[in-house]
Amino acid sequence: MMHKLLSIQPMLRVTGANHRYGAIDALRDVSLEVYPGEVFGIVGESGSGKSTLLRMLNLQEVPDQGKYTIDYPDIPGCDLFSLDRLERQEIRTRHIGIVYQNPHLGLRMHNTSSGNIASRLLIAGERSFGKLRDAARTSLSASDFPLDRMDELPARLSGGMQQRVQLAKAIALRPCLLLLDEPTSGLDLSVQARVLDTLKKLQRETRMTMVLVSHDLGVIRTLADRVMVMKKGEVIESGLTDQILQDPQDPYTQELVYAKL
Amino acid sequence: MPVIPRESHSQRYERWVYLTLLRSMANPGQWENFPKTDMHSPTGLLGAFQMGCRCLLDAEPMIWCEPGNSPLISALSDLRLRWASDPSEADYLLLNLDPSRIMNCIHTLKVGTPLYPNASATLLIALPTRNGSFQKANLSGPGIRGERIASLPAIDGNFWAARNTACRYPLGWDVILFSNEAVMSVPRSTNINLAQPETESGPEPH
Amino acid sequence: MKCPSPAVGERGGLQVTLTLTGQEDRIKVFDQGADESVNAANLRRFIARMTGCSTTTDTTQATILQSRHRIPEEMLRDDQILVLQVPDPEPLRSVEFDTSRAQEMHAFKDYGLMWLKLYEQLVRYGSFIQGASYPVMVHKRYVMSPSPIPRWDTPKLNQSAHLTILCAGREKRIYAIPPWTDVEPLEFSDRFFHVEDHSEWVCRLSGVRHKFMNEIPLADGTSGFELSDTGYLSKALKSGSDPAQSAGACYFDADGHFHQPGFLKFEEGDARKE
Repeated sequence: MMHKLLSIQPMLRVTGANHRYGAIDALRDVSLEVYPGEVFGIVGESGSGKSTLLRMLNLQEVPDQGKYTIDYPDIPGCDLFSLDRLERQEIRTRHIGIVYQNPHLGLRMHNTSSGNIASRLLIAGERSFGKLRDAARTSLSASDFPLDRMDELPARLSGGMQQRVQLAKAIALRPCLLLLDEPTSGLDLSVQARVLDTLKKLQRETRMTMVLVSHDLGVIRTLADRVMVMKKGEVIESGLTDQILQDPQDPYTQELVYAKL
Repeated sequence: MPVIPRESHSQRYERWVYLTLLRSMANPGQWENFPKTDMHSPTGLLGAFQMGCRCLLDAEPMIWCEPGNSPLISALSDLRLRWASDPSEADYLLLNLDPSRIMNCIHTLKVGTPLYPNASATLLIALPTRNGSFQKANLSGPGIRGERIASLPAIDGNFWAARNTACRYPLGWDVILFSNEAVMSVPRSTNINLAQPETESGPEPH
Repeated sequence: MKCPSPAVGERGGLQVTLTLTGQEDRIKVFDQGADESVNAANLRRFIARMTGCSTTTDTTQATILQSRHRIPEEMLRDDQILVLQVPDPEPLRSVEFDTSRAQEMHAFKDYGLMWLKLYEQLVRYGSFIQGASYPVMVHKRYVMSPSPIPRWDTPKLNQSAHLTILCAGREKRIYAIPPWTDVEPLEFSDRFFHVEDHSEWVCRLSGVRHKFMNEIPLADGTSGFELSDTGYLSKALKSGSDPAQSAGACYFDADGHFHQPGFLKFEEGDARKE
């Protein structure tokens, strides 16, 4: 795995990200590289900066300092943090998908589930009703959502189903990067396991590059190839998931791992 | 029911000028004649231009006028206009002495922004004669049924090319041309295809 | 442009009409299609008194037409001006309440949510259900509200010969559609905008079909239909169910065909497809 990773170029690269909210250091000199087709986990307690970092990867926010590049056709090769808000929004729309812990952040609750998926394509300019329906079916199938419920409002669906709609919406435009922000945290364990299965299957079938933020090492262990541990805005350590979870070097990581066990 | 005449002669003339401007904006590239009137009204080119200015301007927008044009400035003094020191700040540019002098800064005129396309310049240009040189062009866009061949006053050899560079609808600037007795508008939404780059001289085929 | 306007309170279309109108004009005012509604008659009288203009109910005779809720059936000419009153000029209000966000959507032609609304209508009801103020795309760039006219009247704005001025009195905003401008109702590339289907409805007063009708409850509990455009109705009555004798050309002909062939499209299998 390591050998394979070293032989190719990273798809996503953040260098020297620093950000403050008032007196709080949200990010301190954070750098990371994510390779095409891998699942990269970010783990840490609340306040560790992992969600801030994810918002930056989603180009919702720009840090005080730092550079961000994505090596992908149609994405400008420049520092993406240097783009204006609308240029960033354009890249987000076309090339990045995100699943939030809170479905209200990711879904339009007053639109149908299929309409939520259609909205992504509509923003990207699709104007064929037939193609919107097809795309909604394709994406919802890929996230193991029952198609006979595709025109129901998300508000009527269970938490696990809502996450599947979010996932379908996130992958509707076949993004080069899928961001997962605690995607299963609010769910019952059995539901959580099935949603994780879907994510694993999706990753296996599409080789989509994913960045997964979670405080749950079990979720990280299930999905992530590599993991980065964060604390108070800093990167504590990073490496292959198995290595870090079996043999944590930093005392903070040890605490996390053993608390879990 | 008795009719109550509310409109004075000058009010009526003002309304007619307004309608003429409205129609000219709605019919790009076409000369719209100001109404013939025997009422007392300002006469001559300065008169028509002044009436247009009075109709369009008030104390709100920034106005730029060619240096040394004190007759116009004093004629409009009662409007309490705000004068811009530089063409690039202007919402309206009044060009009635030598419009071609604007060419050296034509690329600095305001074209608006996507959020505020209306924050852009309008050029009010008075032509000393409609028998000057003209540039043939094919016009299309709102207000034009299909295509219209128009003779655009040349102003300067590069004026209309510069205008095409500036106008990327909805951004761009609008042009309103005044002669003694008529007005022609070329809003930013008009596509101008400058068929022949060379200009023609002689009276305009009307 | 500053309007040389007599001092009048904010009354939407009225202020604009008063600004444009003079003694030389002949004005038509109609409300829901009717010239003789109390509101229309009062307004017409008021405008005539204020400006000294003459009045008419004949679309073809008017120089300026002020309307709420309808565009006449007879085609307007390039020398006529249509003034429409718009209660809410912001077409994005139903999908984006935040005005500054709506302004951004206009700025970047970001109208996906408008189509999402249409998508939802198709999914839930099988057709576009928006009856009035159907959103239109102007000059292939801006989505605009055409005022609360029925869908029947919306295509009449496309590549029309006349100038249309729309005014929202409450918001002190006016906007205009120049003549010969593309005004296209929003639709999908495979599911099309349709006007109301009144093809089976016959005006019980004139026998006319294929025009916009009002449904009238009758004494026996059933309902009948009457031409909504009363100016057109009076012409139809004069010439006995063949209005073509006295009326001008209409946007929709006697068989219900729109005057611009191909502008209104029909899905495969639709009986109205020619």
